[in-house]
Amino acid sequence: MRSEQEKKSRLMAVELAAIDLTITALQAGGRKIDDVAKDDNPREQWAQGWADAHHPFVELTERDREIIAQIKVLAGQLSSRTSLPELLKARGKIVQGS
Amino acid sequence: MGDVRLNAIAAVFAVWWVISACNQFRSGAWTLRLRRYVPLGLIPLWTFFAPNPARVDSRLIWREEHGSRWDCWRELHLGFAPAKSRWLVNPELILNKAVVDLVSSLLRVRLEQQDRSALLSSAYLTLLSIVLTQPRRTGSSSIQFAIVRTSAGTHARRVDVAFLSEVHDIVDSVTHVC
Repeated sequence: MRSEQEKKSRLMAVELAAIDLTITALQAGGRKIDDVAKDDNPREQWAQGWADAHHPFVELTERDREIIAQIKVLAGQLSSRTSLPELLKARGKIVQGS
Repeated sequence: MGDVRLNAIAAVFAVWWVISACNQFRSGAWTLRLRRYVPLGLIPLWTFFAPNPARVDSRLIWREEHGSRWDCWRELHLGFAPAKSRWLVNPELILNKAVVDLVSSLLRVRLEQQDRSALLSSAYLTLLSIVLTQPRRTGSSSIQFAIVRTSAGTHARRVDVAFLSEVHDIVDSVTHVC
Protein backbone atom coordinates (compact mmCIF):
# COMPACT_ATOMS: atom_id res chain seq x y z
CA MET A 1 0.00 0.00 0.00
CA ARG A 2 1.44 3.34 -1.01
CA SER A 3 2.15 5.82 1.73
CA GLU A 4 0.38 9.15 1.76
CA GLN A 5 3.69 10.90 1.20
CA GLU A 6 4.43 8.83 -1.90
CA LYS A 7 0.97 9.54 -3.28
CA LYS A 8 1.54 13.26 -2.86
CA SER A 9 4.99 13.20 -4.42
CA ARG A 10 3.92 11.25 -7.49
CA LEU A 11 2.45 13.00 -10.49
CA MET A 12 -1.31 12.67 -10.34
CA ALA A 13 -3.37 11.15 -13.13
CA VAL A 14 -4.85 14.55 -13.94
CA GLU A 15 -1.36 16.05 -14.25
CA LEU A 16 -0.23 13.26 -16.55
CA ALA A 17 -3.36 13.78 -18.63
CA ALA A 18 -2.61 17.51 -18.83
CA ILE A 19 0.93 16.74 -19.97
CA ASP A 20 -0.45 14.42 -22.64
CA LEU A 21 -2.84 17.12 -23.84
CA THR A 22 -0.04 19.68 -23.95
CA ILE A 23 2.21 17.41 -25.99
CA THR A 24 -0.60 16.40 -28.34
CA ALA A 25 -1.63 20.02 -28.88
CA LEU A 26 1.96 21.10 -29.56
CA GLN A 27 2.53 18.29 -32.03
CA ALA A 28 -0.79 18.95 -33.76
CA GLY A 29 0.20 22.59 -34.10
CA GLY A 30 3.59 21.64 -35.54
CA ARG A 31 5.42 23.17 -32.59
CA LYS A 32 8.24 21.76 -30.53
CA ILE A 33 8.67 21.63 -26.80
CA ASP A 34 11.61 24.04 -27.16
CA ASP A 35 9.20 26.71 -28.36
CA VAL A 36 7.41 26.77 -25.04
CA ALA A 37 9.90 25.40 -22.52
CA LYS A 38 11.27 28.77 -21.51
CA ASP A 39 12.19 29.36 -17.91
CA ASP A 40 10.81 32.85 -17.51
CA ASN A 41 9.76 32.30 -13.92
CA PRO A 42 12.43 33.88 -11.67
CA ARG A 43 11.50 31.49 -8.89
CA GLU A 44 12.31 28.50 -11.11
CA GLN A 45 15.51 30.10 -12.36
CA TRP A 46 16.67 30.48 -8.78
CA ALA A 47 15.76 26.91 -7.99
CA GLN A 48 17.62 25.58 -11.02
CA GLY A 49 20.62 27.70 -10.09
CA TRP A 50 20.48 26.14 -6.66
CA ALA A 51 20.37 22.65 -8.17
CA ASP A 52 23.27 23.40 -10.54
CA ALA A 53 25.36 24.70 -7.66
CA HIS A 54 25.55 21.20 -6.24
CA HIS A 55 28.14 18.88 -7.64
CA PRO A 56 26.54 16.31 -9.88
CA PHE A 57 27.03 12.62 -9.20
CA VAL A 58 26.97 12.03 -12.93
CA GLU A 59 28.79 14.40 -15.27
CA LEU A 60 28.47 13.25 -18.84
CA THR A 61 28.39 16.49 -20.77
CA GLU A 62 32.18 16.98 -20.90
CA ARG A 63 32.80 13.76 -22.82
CA ASP A 64 29.92 14.55 -25.16
CA ARG A 65 31.42 17.96 -25.87
CA GLU A 66 34.69 16.36 -26.99
CA ILE A 67 32.96 14.29 -29.64
CA ILE A 68 30.13 16.67 -30.51
CA ALA A 69 31.29 17.18 -34.11
CA GLN A 70 31.06 13.44 -34.83
CA ILE A 71 27.78 13.19 -32.93
CA LYS A 72 26.28 15.94 -35.09
CA VAL A 73 27.22 14.20 -38.33
CA LEU A 74 26.04 10.76 -37.27
CA ALA A 75 22.85 11.96 -35.55
CA GLY A 76 21.80 13.65 -38.79
CA GLN A 77 22.10 10.34 -40.64
CA LEU A 78 19.95 8.33 -38.23
CA SER A 79 16.54 7.27 -39.38
CA SER A 80 13.43 7.99 -37.35
CA ARG A 81 12.27 5.48 -34.72
CA THR A 82 15.75 4.19 -34.10
CA SER A 83 16.03 1.53 -31.45
CA LEU A 84 18.39 1.69 -28.49
CA PRO A 85 20.79 -0.92 -29.97
CA GLU A 86 21.07 1.16 -33.15
CA LEU A 87 21.79 4.28 -31.14
CA LEU A 88 24.38 2.46 -29.07
CA LYS A 89 26.02 1.10 -32.20
CA ALA A 90 26.24 4.61 -33.64
CA ARG A 91 27.63 5.99 -30.39
CA GLY A 92 30.12 3.10 -30.24
CA LYS A 93 31.42 3.99 -33.71
CA ILE A 94 32.11 7.54 -32.58
CA VAL A 95 33.77 6.57 -29.33
CA GLN A 96 35.98 3.95 -31.00
CA GLY A 97 36.93 6.38 -33.74
CA SER A 98 37.86 9.25 -31.43
CA MET B 1 10.13 67.30 16.94
CA GLY B 2 13.22 65.20 16.30
CA ASP B 3 11.70 62.30 18.22
CA VAL B 4 8.54 62.40 16.13
CA ARG B 5 10.52 62.15 12.89
CA LEU B 6 12.66 59.39 14.30
CA ASN B 7 9.61 57.48 15.48
CA ALA B 8 7.92 57.91 12.08
CA ILE B 9 10.97 56.55 10.26
CA ALA B 10 11.25 53.68 12.72
CA ALA B 11 7.54 52.90 12.22
CA VAL B 12 7.94 52.83 8.43
CA PHE B 13 10.88 50.43 8.68
CA ALA B 14 9.06 48.29 11.24
CA VAL B 15 5.99 47.97 8.99
CA TRP B 16 8.22 47.25 6.00
CA TRP B 17 10.03 44.57 8.00
CA VAL B 18 6.79 42.92 9.16
CA ILE B 19 5.30 42.89 5.66
CA SER B 20 8.56 41.50 4.23
CA ALA B 21 8.61 38.79 6.87
CA CYS B 22 4.98 37.84 6.08
CA ASN B 23 5.87 37.73 2.39
CA GLN B 24 8.31 34.84 2.99
CA PHE B 25 5.50 32.43 3.86
CA ARG B 26 3.23 30.59 1.42
CA SER B 27 5.14 32.10 -1.52
CA GLY B 28 3.87 35.57 -0.71
CA ALA B 29 0.19 34.60 -0.86
CA TRP B 30 -0.65 36.61 2.28
CA THR B 31 0.70 39.85 0.82
CA LEU B 32 -0.34 39.37 -2.79
CA ARG B 33 -2.95 42.17 -2.79
CA LEU B 34 -0.72 44.58 -0.94
CA ARG B 35 2.25 44.01 -3.27
CA ARG B 36 0.18 45.22 -6.23
CA TYR B 37 0.27 48.70 -4.73
CA VAL B 38 3.92 48.69 -3.69
CA PRO B 39 6.23 49.79 -6.52
CA LEU B 40 9.83 48.83 -7.28
CA GLY B 41 9.57 45.38 -5.73
CA LEU B 42 10.14 46.80 -2.29
CA ILE B 43 8.54 43.77 -0.67
CA PRO B 44 11.15 41.07 -1.23
CA LEU B 45 10.59 37.34 -1.62
CA TRP B 46 13.71 35.33 -0.86
CA THR B 47 13.60 31.74 -2.01
CA PHE B 48 17.09 30.40 -1.31
CA PHE B 49 16.48 29.54 2.30
CA ALA B 50 13.79 28.44 4.75
CA PRO B 51 10.93 28.88 5.27
CA ASN B 52 10.33 29.16 1.55
CA PRO B 53 13.06 27.43 -0.47
CA ALA B 54 12.49 27.47 -4.21
CA ARG B 55 12.31 23.94 -5.52
CA VAL B 56 11.97 22.48 -8.98
CA ASP B 57 11.82 18.73 -9.42
CA SER B 58 12.67 17.05 -12.70
CA ARG B 59 10.64 13.96 -13.37
CA LEU B 60 11.00 11.28 -15.99
CA ILE B 61 7.82 10.01 -17.62
CA TRP B 62 7.38 7.52 -20.42
CA ARG B 63 4.75 5.80 -22.53
CA GLU B 64 4.62 2.86 -24.90
CA GLU B 65 2.82 2.25 -28.15
CA HIS B 66 0.70 -0.77 -29.02
CA GLY B 67 -0.07 -0.99 -32.68
CA SER B 68 -1.01 2.59 -33.43
CA ARG B 69 -2.26 3.47 -29.94
CA TRP B 70 -0.25 5.12 -27.21
CA ASP B 71 -0.73 4.14 -23.59
CA CYS B 72 -0.98 6.75 -20.85
CA TRP B 73 2.15 8.43 -19.60
CA ARG B 74 3.70 6.79 -16.56
CA GLU B 75 6.12 8.29 -14.13
CA LEU B 76 9.39 6.68 -13.17
CA HIS B 77 9.01 7.24 -9.46
CA LEU B 78 11.95 6.16 -7.36
CA GLY B 79 10.32 7.05 -4.07
CA PHE B 80 11.63 8.83 -1.01
CA ALA B 81 12.84 7.60 2.33
CA PRO B 82 10.41 8.11 5.24
CA ALA B 83 10.53 11.71 6.42
CA LYS B 84 11.42 10.68 9.98
CA SER B 85 14.59 8.83 9.02
CA ARG B 86 15.51 10.70 5.85
CA TRP B 87 18.09 12.87 7.60
CA LEU B 88 20.01 9.73 8.60
CA VAL B 89 19.38 7.10 5.93
CA ASN B 90 18.25 8.10 2.47
CA PRO B 91 19.36 5.59 -0.17
CA GLU B 92 16.68 6.85 -2.57
CA LEU B 93 18.54 10.16 -2.74
CA ILE B 94 21.28 8.54 -4.84
CA LEU B 95 18.82 7.25 -7.45
CA ASN B 96 16.87 10.50 -7.53
CA LYS B 97 20.04 12.57 -7.79
CA ALA B 98 21.35 10.36 -10.60
CA VAL B 99 18.17 11.00 -12.61
CA VAL B 100 18.36 14.74 -11.85
CA ASP B 101 21.98 14.84 -13.07
CA LEU B 102 21.12 12.91 -16.24
CA VAL B 103 18.23 15.26 -16.95
CA SER B 104 20.44 18.26 -16.30
CA SER B 105 23.12 16.92 -18.69
CA LEU B 106 20.55 16.20 -21.36
CA LEU B 107 18.93 19.62 -21.14
CA ARG B 108 22.36 21.26 -21.36
CA VAL B 109 23.17 19.33 -24.55
CA ARG B 110 19.74 20.19 -25.96
CA LEU B 111 20.28 23.88 -25.26
CA GLU B 112 23.70 23.94 -26.87
CA GLN B 113 22.78 21.81 -29.90
CA GLN B 114 19.43 22.48 -31.48
CA ASP B 115 19.62 19.51 -33.88
CA ARG B 116 19.32 15.76 -33.21
CA SER B 117 22.67 15.58 -31.43
CA ALA B 118 20.99 14.94 -28.10
CA LEU B 119 20.01 11.50 -29.48
CA LEU B 120 23.56 10.24 -29.18
CA SER B 121 24.44 11.95 -25.93
CA SER B 122 25.27 9.74 -22.97
CA ALA B 123 22.45 11.21 -20.91
CA TYR B 124 19.81 10.52 -23.58
CA LEU B 125 20.97 6.94 -24.08
CA THR B 126 21.04 6.30 -20.35
CA LEU B 127 17.56 7.73 -19.79
CA LEU B 128 16.23 5.70 -22.71
CA SER B 129 17.78 2.55 -21.31
CA ILE B 130 16.29 3.29 -17.89
CA VAL B 131 12.76 3.56 -19.25
CA LEU B 132 13.30 0.45 -21.35
CA THR B 133 14.06 -1.55 -18.21
CA GLN B 134 10.70 -0.63 -16.67
CA PRO B 135 7.98 -3.30 -16.66
CA ARG B 136 6.08 -3.12 -19.93
CA ARG B 137 3.04 -4.69 -21.47
CA THR B 138 3.85 -7.45 -23.88
CA GLY B 139 3.59 -6.52 -27.52
CA SER B 140 4.52 -2.89 -27.19
CA SER B 141 6.23 -1.71 -30.34
CA SER B 142 7.79 1.61 -29.44
CA ILE B 143 8.54 3.88 -26.55
CA GLN B 144 8.91 7.58 -25.84
CA PHE B 145 9.99 9.48 -22.76
CA ALA B 146 9.67 13.05 -21.59
CA ILE B 147 11.05 15.20 -18.84
CA VAL B 148 8.66 17.35 -16.88
CA ARG B 149 9.47 19.91 -14.26
CA THR B 150 7.24 20.50 -11.29
CA SER B 151 7.46 23.48 -9.01
CA ALA B 152 5.44 24.34 -5.96
CA GLY B 153 3.65 27.60 -6.52
CA THR B 154 1.32 29.63 -4.38
CA HIS B 155 -1.58 27.29 -4.96
CA ALA B 156 -1.40 24.26 -7.25
CA ARG B 157 1.76 22.45 -8.34
CA ARG B 158 2.97 23.81 -11.67
CA VAL B 159 3.95 21.22 -14.29
CA ASP B 160 5.97 22.06 -17.40
CA VAL B 161 7.20 19.79 -20.16
CA ALA B 162 10.94 20.40 -20.56
CA PHE B 163 11.91 17.73 -23.06
CA LEU B 164 10.24 15.22 -25.33
CA SER B 165 12.24 12.35 -26.78
CA GLU B 166 11.86 10.91 -30.23
CA VAL B 167 9.88 7.71 -30.65
CA HIS B 168 12.05 4.59 -30.48
CA ASP B 169 11.35 1.08 -31.63
CA ILE B 170 11.57 -1.54 -28.93
CA VAL B 171 13.95 -4.42 -29.45
CA ASP B 172 13.26 -6.91 -26.68
CA SER B 173 16.72 -8.45 -26.62
CA VAL B 174 18.19 -5.37 -25.00
CA THR B 175 17.03 -4.75 -21.48
CA HIS B 176 19.69 -2.52 -20.02
CA VAL B 177 22.83 -0.56 -20.78
CA CYS B 178 25.94 -0.50 -18.65
